[in-house]
Amino acid sequence: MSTLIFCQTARLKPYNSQNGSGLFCDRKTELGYEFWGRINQIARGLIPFLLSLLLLLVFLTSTGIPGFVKVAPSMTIISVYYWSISRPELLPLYSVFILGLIEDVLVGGPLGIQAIVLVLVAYTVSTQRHFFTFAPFGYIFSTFILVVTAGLGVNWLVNSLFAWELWDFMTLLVKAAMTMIFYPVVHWLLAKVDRTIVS
Amino acid sequence: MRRRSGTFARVTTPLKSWFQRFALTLMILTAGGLLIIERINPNATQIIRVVVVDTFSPVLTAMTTPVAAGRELYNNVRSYGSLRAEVLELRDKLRFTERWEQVARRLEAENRRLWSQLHVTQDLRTDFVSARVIRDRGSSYVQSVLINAGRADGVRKGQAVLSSYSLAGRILDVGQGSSRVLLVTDINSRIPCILERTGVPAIAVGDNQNGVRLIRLTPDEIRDISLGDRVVTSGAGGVFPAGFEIGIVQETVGDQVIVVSNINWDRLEFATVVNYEHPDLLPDSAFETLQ
Repeated sequence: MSTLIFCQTARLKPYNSQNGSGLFCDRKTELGYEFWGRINQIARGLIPFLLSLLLLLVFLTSTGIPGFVKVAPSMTIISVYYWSISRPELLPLYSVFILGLIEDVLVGGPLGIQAIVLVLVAYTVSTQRHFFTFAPFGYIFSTFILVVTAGLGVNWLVNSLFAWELWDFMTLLVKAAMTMIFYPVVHWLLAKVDRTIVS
Repeated sequence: MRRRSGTFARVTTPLKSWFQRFALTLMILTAGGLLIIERINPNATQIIRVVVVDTFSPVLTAMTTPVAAGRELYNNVRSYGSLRAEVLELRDKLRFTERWEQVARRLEAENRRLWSQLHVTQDLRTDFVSARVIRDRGSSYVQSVLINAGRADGVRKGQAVLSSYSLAGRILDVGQGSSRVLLVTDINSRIPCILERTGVPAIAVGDNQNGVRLIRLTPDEIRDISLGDRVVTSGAGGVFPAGFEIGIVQETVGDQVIVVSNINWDRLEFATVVNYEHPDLLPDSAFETLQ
């Protein structure tokens, strides 16, 4: 029985692989489509991780704005939250874990704290994903307020335990507020990328 | 071929499902393990830090360049407005500096004469490496910066880092082309110092804000301190050269002596790494032990 392999472009007709007589697309072209299709798939799959990394690096870059570093919004929490609702399969837990480790190293803090926070955020949100399906933005945003407060709270607690000193709680609140302020803009940006590139 | 891939799938599929099932637990345990290992031995995770920082430092340097250019342009435009006032101020400063130059030359000559009379050998060799700060001070919990100079530029662990002629910190991790500097304001920073006027030794500890506290001082020694006293490195232990300014005493509250540096921590753009070698004192391996 001959195996029928369909070319990826809908306009091209089926190609019979047994006798090799292609109608509109030969074996070489078909392999080319397969190869580029796979590359395309991998590239699309990497976008959420690379975008999260880019957001992290942008907000880590030396700006010279006095005091900004301490209260800079946590871009990774925003990004992980968005992708865990939108496409958790494209930002799996191990990617989130690596992202957290990179952030820990670049910030210079104890290794593992942000990794724990991000993995917890990703796991909690993706397992409760059905609540967010067709939910209005207000609902997603109000849940984000809870998530970011809890996430930064865990970060503060583990850092305090690690250094055995209670860190400034006010800075934590300002950082949480900054993250919430930035959320709608970043959400809009990520949704745009999600619709135009990933989908 | 099909059979081999079938065997491969038979082995990997249960492993994959097992990993997916316990992924959360595994990752939290790994992260917790890393935290504990680092707490016990900070050098154990150094390789991860060095690799990650080295990988991302070119990106951070590239991203810093337009920001720095924009900042410079803004400063240039702003300074045009106050050009005349600045020229007058600089003339005043020049007159003041010329007076001090005369004093310094006289003291230098006198110092050289006294050193030769005492037959003191000066075996200190000091080189400098200048670098750009590519990552501002860490976060609320950490006071460190990344600079774009590493092992390739002669930077080594433990070296002193200066900014605005004051001590900014010491090299904590060194990569091939980047390094992390632990600032003197970090809570884990401990620097042997002396109060220049009285010669009393102390230890400068960061307060994780913009200042440094002095510890190991007796109540009598604290009473002798005046506001504005200069605090400099003592050179004890050979970790840092002696005489680098840490800051000046801003206030004393009970047994707390608060010292502020003249470095603007929020605008730390460049840093100078001091390559300091003192053959009679600590070998390189000692810096590793100090971490």
